[in-house]
Amino acid sequence: MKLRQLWLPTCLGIAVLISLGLSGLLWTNPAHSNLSTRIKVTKSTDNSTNTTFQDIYLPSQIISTDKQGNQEVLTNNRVNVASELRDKISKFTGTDVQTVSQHNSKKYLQQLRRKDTILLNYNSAMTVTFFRKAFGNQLKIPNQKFNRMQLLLNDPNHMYLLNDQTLRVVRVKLKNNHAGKLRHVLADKMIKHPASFIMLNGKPIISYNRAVRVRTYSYQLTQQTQSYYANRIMTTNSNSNMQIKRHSNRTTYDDHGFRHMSVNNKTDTVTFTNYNSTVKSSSFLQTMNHIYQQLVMVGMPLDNVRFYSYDSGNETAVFRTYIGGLPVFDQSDYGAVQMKVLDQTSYQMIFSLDSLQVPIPPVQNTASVESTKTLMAQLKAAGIRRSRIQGLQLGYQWTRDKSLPKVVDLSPTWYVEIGGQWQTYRSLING
Amino acid sequence: MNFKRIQLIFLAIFIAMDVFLFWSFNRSSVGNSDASSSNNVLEEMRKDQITFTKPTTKTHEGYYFSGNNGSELRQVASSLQDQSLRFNGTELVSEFKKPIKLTSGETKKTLDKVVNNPLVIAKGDHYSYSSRLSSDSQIVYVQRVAAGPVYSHYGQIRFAVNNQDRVIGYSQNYLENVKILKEASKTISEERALTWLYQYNEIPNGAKISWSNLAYTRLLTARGQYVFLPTWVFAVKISSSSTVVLKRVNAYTGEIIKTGDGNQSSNSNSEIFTMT
Repeated sequence: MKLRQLWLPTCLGIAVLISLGLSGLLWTNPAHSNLSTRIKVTKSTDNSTNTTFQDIYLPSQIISTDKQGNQEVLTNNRVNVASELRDKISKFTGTDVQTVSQHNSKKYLQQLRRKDTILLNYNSAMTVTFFRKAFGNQLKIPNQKFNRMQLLLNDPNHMYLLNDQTLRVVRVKLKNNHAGKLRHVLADKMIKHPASFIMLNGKPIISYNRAVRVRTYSYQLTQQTQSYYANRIMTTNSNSNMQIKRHSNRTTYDDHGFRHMSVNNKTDTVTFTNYNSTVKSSSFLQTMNHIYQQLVMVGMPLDNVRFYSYDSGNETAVFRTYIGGLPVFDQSDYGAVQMKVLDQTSYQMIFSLDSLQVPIPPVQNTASVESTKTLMAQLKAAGIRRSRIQGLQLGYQWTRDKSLPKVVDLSPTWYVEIGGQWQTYRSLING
Repeated sequence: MNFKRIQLIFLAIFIAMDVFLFWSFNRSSVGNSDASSSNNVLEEMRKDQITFTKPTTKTHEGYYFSGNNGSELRQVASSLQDQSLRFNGTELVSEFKKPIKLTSGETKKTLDKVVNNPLVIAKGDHYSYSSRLSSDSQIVYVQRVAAGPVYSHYGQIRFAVNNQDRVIGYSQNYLENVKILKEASKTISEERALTWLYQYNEIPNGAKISWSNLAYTRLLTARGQYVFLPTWVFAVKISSSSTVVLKRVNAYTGEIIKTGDGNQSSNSNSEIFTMT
């Protein structure tokens, strides 16, 4: 009797509560407001690039050492060896670290020559936190700097981190590593150049034991217009009033605020300065992440562009175009992109309007490159003292094709670093 | 008694209100659950009455490669039997002495046998049947290079079918000297390619995307070699007519490749095609 009397007010109460709840949900969710029911799609999708953080920060060189101790530099025409290896390396976890040696060049070289290993090299020192992000990895060890990783094919439970600057060798204990996967990558058909490590002015460098034949490439030059970058990076929401000044050999763009862009019309080089870009912290990972985001924001083609080196002294990162596993030099004085962090809130980026995107058949398939020994002898004969040489690097020289317009020929040659500048050995010998 | 009636009326009103609120909440939350921009584009496409099956978001890998039509076909053509053949430049044009009868549903099976017979078709093992490019009057076999089909007549066999369902002859082009120009690189996803095609106004309202495929398209010719790259190819059927237009999107950059006059232009980077 009482229940029958109660059902009506109870139902009413529930209905009131539900309606209150639903209207509350509708009101508090801003996505349901009329303003956003039809979001106008702009072409903002354009800035999504195919190149990820992981791609741009791949190791620049892979060296394998077989069971007999023969060392080879690996490249592959069909796949990118570095990214293949990276995909296999993820998932393992590292726990214990132990410093094996330090400031001992003999032991350091011994470690570099260790049999049945694979070395992944960077030109500049990385940190552990950076490595975790670049390799999607779980390396739980104290943060430290290193520029080479050595994976042991016969011992999946350890790997070594090496630092060229301090000649420090650190052993890391690993879990969940599968050496079989690495062997699988290495079993693929590779181009192998016999090489070995030598010490040059206290720094280990890779030396080619004999003359090698290296693939040549031709690329069509893709040129982006000035206005593309002007529209992308100079028109921010806060200030659409951009001032353009045309000088005889350069054009400057200024937004009366935080951004300034100058294009050299002779060299097609863009210098972009941004005074309003805050880096959260100055850790290596944060800096690299910030630089990557700015590269994506500017919107230059990053297909073949990879990290080359970072100078912590003047906080400058250099990115170069990588073709067939080797860096391209002479594209400009600075590589493909140079990014200089000016202070906590500003940076300067230098890049070219030109980029290499479409390969075309080269005139010759391969070209011969001298062995390191021959190279050193030639440099010596030209009066260049060994102590002046800071680095040696096999790279591609960028030359415009004589018969085809807008075509760049890439031929392999030795580059020598003297006084912080990379030059071809030929220009040193002849000059 | 009166109070009970008022309660009943209130209950009815509140239930109606709940239903309405729930419906409007549901509608707006469905519209917003797909927050990413490409999904918005897909939704806009549906509003423009464009029919398509949901594109995949998977990326693939493809190569730049070069090749040319040379003398290899000519060298092996002399051993071909039961046909009268001639060459139109580097293209082999042949007529079967005995037309091949096709029964419906067995087209692929019948012609696979023909194509795989080296005495009838030269280099036939490099080609595979393409139902998408084939029609009632023409059956197309595409050459497979670098793990993908070539959607260009530089690497195809086209069988001519008469109105009695008999294959009377074929024309063939073969890509030789194939060289991979660059290591494999990631392509954009089908979804990205489709949304770009739409945003460049290449899909008219009311059109239907019959099929899409990742295939190689010739981009340019340099040093006597054709340069191919992976493209997303969409078959766009315009509602008012029965014609199907193939639209091609560069699977690396997302640029639209116009194939009208022998690949002569592209709307976003015209200089790509001007080399000889």
